Amino acid sequence: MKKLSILFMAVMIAAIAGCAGDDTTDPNGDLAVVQDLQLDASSTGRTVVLTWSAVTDEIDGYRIYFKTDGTGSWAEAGTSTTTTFTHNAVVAGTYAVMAYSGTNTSSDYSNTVSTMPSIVNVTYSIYDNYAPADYHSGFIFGETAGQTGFASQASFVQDIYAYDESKGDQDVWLYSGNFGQFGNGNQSYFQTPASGVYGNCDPDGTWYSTSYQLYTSDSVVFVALPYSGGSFAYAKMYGLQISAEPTSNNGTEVSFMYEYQSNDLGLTLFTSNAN
Amino acid sequence: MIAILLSILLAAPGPGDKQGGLPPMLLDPDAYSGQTSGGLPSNLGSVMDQVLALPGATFGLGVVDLKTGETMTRNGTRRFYMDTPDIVNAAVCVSRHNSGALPLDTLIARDEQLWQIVRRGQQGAREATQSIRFYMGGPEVLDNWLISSGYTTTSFPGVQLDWEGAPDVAESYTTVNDCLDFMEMVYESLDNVAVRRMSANPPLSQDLEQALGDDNIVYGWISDGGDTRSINLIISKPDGSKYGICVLANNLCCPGKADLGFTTIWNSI
Repeated sequence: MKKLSILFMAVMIAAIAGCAGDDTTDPNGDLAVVQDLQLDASSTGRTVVLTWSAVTDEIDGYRIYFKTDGTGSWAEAGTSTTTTFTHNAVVAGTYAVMAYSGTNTSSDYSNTVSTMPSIVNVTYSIYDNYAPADYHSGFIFGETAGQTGFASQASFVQDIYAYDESKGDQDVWLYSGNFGQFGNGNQSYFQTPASGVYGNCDPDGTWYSTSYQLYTSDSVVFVALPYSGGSFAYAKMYGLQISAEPTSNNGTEVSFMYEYQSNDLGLTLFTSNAN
Repeated sequence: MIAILLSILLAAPGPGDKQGGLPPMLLDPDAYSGQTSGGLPSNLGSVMDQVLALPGATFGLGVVDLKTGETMTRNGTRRFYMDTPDIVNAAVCVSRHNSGALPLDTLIARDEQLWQIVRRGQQGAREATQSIRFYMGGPEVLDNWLISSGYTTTSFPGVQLDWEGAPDVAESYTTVNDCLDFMEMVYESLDNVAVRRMSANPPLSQDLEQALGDDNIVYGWISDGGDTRSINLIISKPDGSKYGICVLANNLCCPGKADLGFTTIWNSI
């Protein structure tokens, strides 16, 4: 009986040691490191297509890893037996790949690729038409910085501007730059986030091509910005604050920060952050 | 003249004449089974002439029997300044809905269908009467529709802004004949719920509410500003008769004068 107990303990220790060796998120083996990981040109919207060069070792396949928002630790997004992988993403992040054979893995992660947007962590404010006339109402999204200006001036070619369609309240709308009273700017489209989902917008979902009424409860709105040639850049306005402009009757201030997806792939992925 | 006016005012139903019952817009027009009146009353012309003779206003007047198409007007082709041309918006939107060009239930902005923006204008939001032109696809859409439909005596330049420092309101003009056509257009589409919603509960003055009472179903458009007031109402009476009544008033001495003109005509029908 005592021998059986010792045997059982030995088996358990071996099993535990084996589990440790099966950790799929840490490179712990001696297989070749995957090279040339890339975002494939067929990636678009929320579909991320990865490609890489094959390793010459005998392997079972590849494990694909993902860091949500490009931070934190790697989590396995899936496996592939070929040198391509399609990820139906719900949030932007960073990817890496390892080869594996049984419990053996690459000695390190591959190079990384990112779907992260440019995060313009600056608070901008625009004001509606009931605010003082010298307050900026228009906004231009840039890849690394935005610009406010007078939507009423033809020289300022805005992407969006703030406008109030009804006197006597603190309502405010975001107008496409080419719509309405000051529509001398660029076409933009607006989309409401799916409930609690701030990491992506749906390129095939409902986009409002003219105006978008803001509610004080809004924290995020997505904006599609047409490029020439039919492709789009996408922005996520976040940290939205809609508040009365104190020096005017009925004037409203809209303040926000934004993220910007500028790559030519037309990805609609952003961080999970709303504030 | 005073005697005529007194008799008109006495004939109008007062607060004590209210019969109670459901508010007008909760009544179903199809529930009425009364006989139609069979055209316009024979004395309508003389009543209109009396209104025209009222001092303190320049009137354009019109009535259309919406079941027979019979009309009677005074100053029917004369152009009148109209403060907010919400009836024009209603007509063009109904026309484009019926042609399939732009359905009224189109989700045109966040949480807002096209008819809701038309309704905001009908309820008195000046900016909405302008923004609807943009929502329709650009100011030229409305302008082209007016021209191609033959309404060349109606003009709606479109600037209807409320805020300090905004460009001045651009004056809009219309005629009684055009307004009667617009009302007929809307009336013929009242089986559509969006058309009913965007035309219901016009902002009646207390005098008009009293005159119309609780038993009539009323759709319409009322706008006023400065010395002008426009009243365009589609009214279904309990006896099944249905009328469009247009009162365009300029050079008003006082806002109540237009309502008096309308009430005078209404009481003769």
